[in-house]
Amino acid sequence: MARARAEGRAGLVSAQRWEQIQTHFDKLVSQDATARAVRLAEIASADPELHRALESLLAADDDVNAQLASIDSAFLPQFDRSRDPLRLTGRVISHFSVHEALGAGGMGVVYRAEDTRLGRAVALKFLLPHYSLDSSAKARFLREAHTAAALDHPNLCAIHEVGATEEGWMFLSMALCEGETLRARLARDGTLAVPEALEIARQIGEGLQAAHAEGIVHRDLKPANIMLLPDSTVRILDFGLAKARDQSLTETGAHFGTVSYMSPAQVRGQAVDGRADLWALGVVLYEMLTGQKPFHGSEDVAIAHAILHDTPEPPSTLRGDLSAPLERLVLRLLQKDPAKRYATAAELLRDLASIRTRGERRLDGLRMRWRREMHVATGILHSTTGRALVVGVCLTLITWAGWTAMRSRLASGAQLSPSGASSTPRGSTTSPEANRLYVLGRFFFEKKDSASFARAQDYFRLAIEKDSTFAPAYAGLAEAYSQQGTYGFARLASNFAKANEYASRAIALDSTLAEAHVSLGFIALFYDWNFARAGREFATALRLDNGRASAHLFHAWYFMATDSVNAGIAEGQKAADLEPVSPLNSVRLVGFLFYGKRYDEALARGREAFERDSSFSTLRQELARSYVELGRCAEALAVLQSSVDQHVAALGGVRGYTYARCGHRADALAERARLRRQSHATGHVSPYALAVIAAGLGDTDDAIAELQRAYDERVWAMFMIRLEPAFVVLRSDPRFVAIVRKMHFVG
Amino acid sequence: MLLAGCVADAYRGRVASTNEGQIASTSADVTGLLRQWTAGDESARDRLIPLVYNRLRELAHRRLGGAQVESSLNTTGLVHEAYIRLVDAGSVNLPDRAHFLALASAVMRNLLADRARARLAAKRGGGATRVELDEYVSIPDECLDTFTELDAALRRLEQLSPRQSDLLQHRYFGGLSLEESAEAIGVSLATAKRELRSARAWLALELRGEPVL
Repeated sequence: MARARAEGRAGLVSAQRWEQIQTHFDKLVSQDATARAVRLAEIASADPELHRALESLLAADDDVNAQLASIDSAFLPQFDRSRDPLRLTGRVISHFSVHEALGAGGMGVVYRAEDTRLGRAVALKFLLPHYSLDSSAKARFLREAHTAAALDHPNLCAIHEVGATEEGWMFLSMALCEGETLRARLARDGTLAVPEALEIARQIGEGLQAAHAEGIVHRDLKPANIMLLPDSTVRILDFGLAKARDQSLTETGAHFGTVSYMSPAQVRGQAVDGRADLWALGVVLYEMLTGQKPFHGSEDVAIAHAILHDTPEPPSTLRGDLSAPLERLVLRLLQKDPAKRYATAAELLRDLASIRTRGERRLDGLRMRWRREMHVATGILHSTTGRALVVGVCLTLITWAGWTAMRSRLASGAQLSPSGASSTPRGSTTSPEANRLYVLGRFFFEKKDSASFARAQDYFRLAIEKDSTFAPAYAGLAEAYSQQGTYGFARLASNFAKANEYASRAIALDSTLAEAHVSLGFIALFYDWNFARAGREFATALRLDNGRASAHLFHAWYFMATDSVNAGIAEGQKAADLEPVSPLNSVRLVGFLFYGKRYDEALARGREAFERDSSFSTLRQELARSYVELGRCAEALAVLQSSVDQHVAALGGVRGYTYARCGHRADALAERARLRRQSHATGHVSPYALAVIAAGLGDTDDAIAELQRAYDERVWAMFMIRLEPAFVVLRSDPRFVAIVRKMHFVG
Repeated sequence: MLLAGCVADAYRGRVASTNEGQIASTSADVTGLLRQWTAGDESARDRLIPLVYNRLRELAHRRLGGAQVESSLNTTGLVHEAYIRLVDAGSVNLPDRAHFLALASAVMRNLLADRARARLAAKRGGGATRVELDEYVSIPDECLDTFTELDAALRRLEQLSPRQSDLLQHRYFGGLSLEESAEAIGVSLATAKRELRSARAWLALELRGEPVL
């Protein structure tokens, strides 16, 4: 019927009329209500027909998403949750082997995969193709992911690593964690007991506090983004992604998943701060307590209206057992004026704590219940759907230097331009493209895995292609080559030769470039064992830029090598202070304390880092070493036992050494045999590690032989042999003394 | 509503064999043709269409074949997958990509239109012959109705503003982003945004049976 009418109307005249209507419409939609009304009145008197058309178009525009919901949901891009829309199952991407699709979320598809480099299960979250392909979206994604990777907190699941497939699809690598979303929990139970709701709110509040402290706002906090783990931990998912997704959705004209948790400012499209997340937490808490949302409506527009104008029904009218302070707290979170809300998560946490203290006694029993129910739920869901519903994705930050060094680098670049407007690195380029490529290079460099070093080199090279005088890109190449070597991913000799060349080139272009001096120092220390030169270069670098954490860190190693252990510890401390959230710096400091025989301090510091993130294998190794030296074998074995990455501990020789020292001789021998086999097969086992185990076993000849091999292969750790507690037993052996002498230690 | 798109369910009938070798060889061809077309060679477009058409059908079959018959796919997902499998994405820039997706969205719409006509013919009892798409997929009736309405509305919009009709087609059948759509129809992003807004309001009225014109 409509079609018959349409055929009659079609033609040039209608096309012209439509163009006219559109011109008016485009203008009207950009005007405020008053101007619009005035203009419409004018049109009404001049052309009533046009006025009618515009009125109906404007009305349709007002809630167009609701009106087109059925068509949009039928035809706009969506991905099937039960399948593998990107067909990645069975593929190997970078160092990940993809096992199965777990589900699709707001902006991506999540796969279960294995990190073949570290031999552990991970989740890979892929951006859907229509999010991932244009370069601005990609850059935004990288930026956001990078920001999110900064978040290291037990109640946050941010992003750890970013990669791309050959086709250019971006993905995030995250630890796999299984639990139940708060959304699923609420769907199952309706409401939660007050203490449990408060405990969940507290943990969300803790997570928000940590993120807000870094200046990161979630913007999309909702029950589907809140994961309840079987150990009663609550984790907030997808931190740092909301902004990228919002922009992407706006650009593609698609509509948001839900407006129910949006703050009034978000509804109005205004800029938001952390208080938007506190609002969302208020909505979530209201929902946990009452089983319903504070603002409701049949469609998005109605909900948005309610958010802007309605006062929520007091929760106590919906549930009898709510105390007055709790009700006040919930309603305060839902104040329309952000100034009347809690100013910070910390403030909220204080109030929550005082309310919780009153109900504390009931909590322990409740935790038990939660755990029990979780298992039941998990069982049920597994048996019916096999997967997906109970699977969430979290991050456990096991990053190496990671984002922090990158951030400090950008910050140091910003310092150098007094206007403060630019984040261009020092010795800067006029080519924005070169700068962009450089930043990408740095990003991959900080990941410190084999593929990333290679990619970092590619990006630095591309940056140089764009601007052959761009000194920081040469310095970047120098760092990428030298560290690729020390991490064992490439042949040392040729890598260090290249690194040396690039660092010199960078210095020729800009002799004030601190990172180039760091590189020269690094090469001198870790490869040439030219300690005097290393000391000079690090001193120069620090004179140029005293805020550079990596310079302090390597300077610390220099002091270790030259027998100034306490100076080394102080430098390690400085690096850790400059980048307090860098897991690597903390771990290194623990190591320096260990070499300084300050085992109790090492343990205190290590335990502290361990509380934050127990998945960092190198940290477990450091803890174990200190426990062993203190004779606390049970703890040493325990901390290694549950290690996520068994072979990291194995490679350092710590596992075998711990067995040997703790009376598990057979296990130590088995470990050594295993490493030897691995060494023959892959060549990737450090003779230094084998020497440590041999020394632990009392097999002096073998230890010396391995150390000789380590010297010949220029294993960098050799400069620590004088401080290595395991080698104390070798010190009187003339062969050991000869090796030490060959090292030409100074200082 | 969040879960289900207008999906095509597996048809358990004939199975066409796919040849991976052939697929590999067409990737370079398609990428080359795509470049020629973006550069202005319209004959390249004509040569592309059958390749895209065949690939879309093949994908529909492959995705739905075998044991997982209960599963479904959506149109824009198919189009994107066709892109991924046909085009060497690494060597393709935004204009090429946008052109490909635009073309594929038109082909997808045609495939569905063919199917709708066949279904209609079957309903009239006129000894329906299965159209090609039907070898692989069958589409739920209610989705076909939604499609028919949308298709008709887009044809009416084509009379008023071909560009806006294309815009909606790219969004609904190709899943093109606004940026890609703008590239494909040769306008700025701002224009595409503006035109999409009025086109969506127009469409809302049209589908409600209260047309503007």
